[in-house]
Amino acid sequence: MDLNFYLDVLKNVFLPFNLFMAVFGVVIGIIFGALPGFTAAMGIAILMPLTFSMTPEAGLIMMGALFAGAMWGGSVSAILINTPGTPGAAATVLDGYPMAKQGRAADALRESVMSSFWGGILGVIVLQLFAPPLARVSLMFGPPEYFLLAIFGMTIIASLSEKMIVKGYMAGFLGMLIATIGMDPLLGIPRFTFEITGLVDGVMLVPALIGLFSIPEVMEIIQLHGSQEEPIPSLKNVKIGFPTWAHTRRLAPTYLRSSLIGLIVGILPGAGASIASFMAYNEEKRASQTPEKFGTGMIEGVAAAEAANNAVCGGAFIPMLTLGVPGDSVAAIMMGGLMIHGLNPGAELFTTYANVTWTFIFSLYLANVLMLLFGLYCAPWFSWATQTPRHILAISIILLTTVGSFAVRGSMTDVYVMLGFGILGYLLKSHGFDVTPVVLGVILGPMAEKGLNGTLSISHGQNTLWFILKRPVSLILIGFTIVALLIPYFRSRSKKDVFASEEPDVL
Amino acid sequence: MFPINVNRKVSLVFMAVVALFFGYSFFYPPEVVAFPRFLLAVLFLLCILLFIRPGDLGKIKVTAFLTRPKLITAAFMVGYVALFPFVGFFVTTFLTVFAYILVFERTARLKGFLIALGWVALLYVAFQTLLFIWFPEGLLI
Repeated sequence: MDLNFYLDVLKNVFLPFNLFMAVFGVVIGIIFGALPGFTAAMGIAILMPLTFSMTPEAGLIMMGALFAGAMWGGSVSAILINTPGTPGAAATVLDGYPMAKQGRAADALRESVMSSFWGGILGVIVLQLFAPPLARVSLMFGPPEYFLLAIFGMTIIASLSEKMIVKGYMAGFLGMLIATIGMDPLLGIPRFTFEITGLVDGVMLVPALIGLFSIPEVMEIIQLHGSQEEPIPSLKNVKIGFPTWAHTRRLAPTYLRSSLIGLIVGILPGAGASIASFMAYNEEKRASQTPEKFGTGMIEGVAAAEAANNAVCGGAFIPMLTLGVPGDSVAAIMMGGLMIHGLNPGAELFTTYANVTWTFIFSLYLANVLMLLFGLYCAPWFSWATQTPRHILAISIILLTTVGSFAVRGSMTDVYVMLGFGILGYLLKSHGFDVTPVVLGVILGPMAEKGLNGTLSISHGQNTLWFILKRPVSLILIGFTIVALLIPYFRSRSKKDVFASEEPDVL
Repeated sequence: MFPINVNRKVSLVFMAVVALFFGYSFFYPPEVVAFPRFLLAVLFLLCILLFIRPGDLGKIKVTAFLTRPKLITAAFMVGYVALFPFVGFFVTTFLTVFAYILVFERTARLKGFLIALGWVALLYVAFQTLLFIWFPEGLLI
């Protein structure tokens, strides 16, 4: 890739329509994030149908910008009304809300947007540096490696499940089972369709994602109808503005440490922003000279949580773009969007479709800058979103999910699929399951099946295990899987179980 | 309000799903269902594990599952989806939003009317005018 290529990419990013989509994505993302109950995953799932008629670049720019905006937007309601707008902002509540109660809401909002910006930028830098070499590694992958990669993905998803581990595995394997519905990849025979013609082509990913991520949230939102809303602190005439250089320099180690945690957690499949922000918060508390003051309005607490949850964005895209294993639920949905545009994750994205991929990666820098500017200068406007009545939010989601699912192919079948998955998602959530493993199971299921079929085919069904063990990359993946299987054991031994113990209920 | 352990029930429901898929798998050639049967076997083992060790998280509040606002919302959602292809986008969307707002805010007629009208206009412009995605016209429009 020469300089001209990167100049072309930059030109693409700044095309008027693409620029407009970046602004639109960031603004909508911040609003979605600030609305309690609306998550980044839901926002992208609902708005993805809008991107179908756009160029892949414009669609990806909008979704990436929405992700970045929503990750910060979640902190607005966390700080102002003690309710995290997104699960990733749950740790922000711990110090953000006490700051607001002390009359320092503007300081907390400034810090949340600044740390989100640094976390986001560091995430994109790492994505830019690590994705291309990892994509080249994917060229060494054959069917056995893809099978093992899917198994590793499933194992780590369930191991990091924020709820009961057995249930995490059950949800993941249920997702894989759902993915077997439709045409069998070996002989082309429709399986498990239960005589429903609409299922012959399998379960459409986008409507399924819309249903899984939106309908359970509608039920959560409406459950809060009539509950006493926290009045927001007055932000009238408040100008947030940039922090001083000394302040930024003082918090630079926090930004760096928390961003690294966010990146690593983001890369791990299934471990989302909420885990990252709690881990970073705990780490910051551990490193602090005054850990006892955390929870009383420490600006470092807000900085750590926000830098980590925004760094997750860049991290989550690395395995998604290079190996087809999404790092979190948002990356899973965006992978569905990529596929709709005919782009398959892997080395091809950095060769044949390099222009699209790099336009997307570079647009994430722009998205973070836009998020910073909107955050610093428009935060008081966005704060009003947190006061939207719950029933208005609920009916809005119902409309958007139905119309959005219909828009996928102009077919009511997709709307029924969305509704069916919505009901499934609600039943699972209300019985203590996470829906993220289901989604990742749906994505990883076909990869595992094709990998297994391919392995059996090239090994001629004889000594398959030995055939797999002879391959170095396979051995590495088996090693990773064993480590992932041991994670729950180490977690249960750990006194500081950051995954479960301190996390309050999040929307 | 009394807590009950539901994880055992959940594992039984999953077992029923496994049994359904397993039974159905005999309608297909063995090579077509080899992978699904592997998944079913793993799921079955996990179900047994959950049944034997349901854990503390099996206690959830029964009342949180289906409450009046949730039932109303579910009814509106199913009703909207059911009427959408027959009555059409404009009428169904307008009536659903208007009625839903009235159910939760009995006196907000003008507010409900304006929000309903706003949503119809917004979705029409976004999807039909800009994206050329045509919604069902239905019986009335």
